[in-house]
Amino acid sequence: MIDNYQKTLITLFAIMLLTLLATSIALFIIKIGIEPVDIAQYYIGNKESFIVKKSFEGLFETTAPHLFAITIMIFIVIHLLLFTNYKKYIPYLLTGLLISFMADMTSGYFLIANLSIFAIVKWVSFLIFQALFIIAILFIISDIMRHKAI
Amino acid sequence: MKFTVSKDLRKNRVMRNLLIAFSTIMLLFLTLDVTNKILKFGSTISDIKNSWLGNEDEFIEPLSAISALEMVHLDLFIAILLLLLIGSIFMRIDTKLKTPFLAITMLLSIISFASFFASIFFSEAFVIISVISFLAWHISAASMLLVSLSWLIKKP
Repeated sequence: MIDNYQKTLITLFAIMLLTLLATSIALFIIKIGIEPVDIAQYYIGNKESFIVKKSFEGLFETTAPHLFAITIMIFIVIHLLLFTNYKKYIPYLLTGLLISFMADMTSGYFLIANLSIFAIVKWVSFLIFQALFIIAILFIISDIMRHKAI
Repeated sequence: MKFTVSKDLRKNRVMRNLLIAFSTIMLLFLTLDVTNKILKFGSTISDIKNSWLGNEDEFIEPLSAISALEMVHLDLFIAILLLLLIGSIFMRIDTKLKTPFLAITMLLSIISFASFFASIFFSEAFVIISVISFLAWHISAASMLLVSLSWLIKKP
């Protein structure tokens, strides 16, 4: 059973998390761009557009805090999903989230090694990660809404 | 896992001391977060307006969309974790007011971030809403921590 307090806490947590995802999508679009070509340019650089190639140190500064933050968020969301009727989807969601997250994080390093094909990997993995995370949060919200608070 | 299972956490001495230490440090964090923002953007509404929206007369550049987004991205992550943890401790307190208290705190934090964006992208009228809601959610979260601390210190 779930009481009003827990319902409020989890619903507002989920809404805040959706807002966080919205900021990460906005940052991706504004900073990097929408298409794989923009992603390749952002990492490899482009002299004509005065875009400097990203350094290993620069990428590492982004990767290190994201490894901590995203892992914590995946842990919390999957842990909450355990108490819902959607727990049968957890193995698929967790696998998808972790693989897409790792692909998203590592593809930048391959890009600065001039393997431009990883622009597509980065693009696809980012989209899959965001989609799966939103689905997981929506599962939590829909389950919470179905419960009658005590 | 004991934290989520035990009903009265005060009966477990280790858990009680751990939560007292955690709540104290989080109180310190909330205070320092407000101090940090005051040092970064200023303490008056006009200082904050200048830092966020720029001022041509004083040659102050406005915050760029990327800087604003990066700031919200980090602050929102911290706020989510902080409010989830504070909310989980506050859950043990036996009062009817705890649900509205939690809802107000979390909503104020959402309003603070939303109005910050609105002030950067739409109108400077949102600056004052953002500042007030920012201070209000910090005060409200600190009050939740203080109530939790007084409950934790009291013998069961």
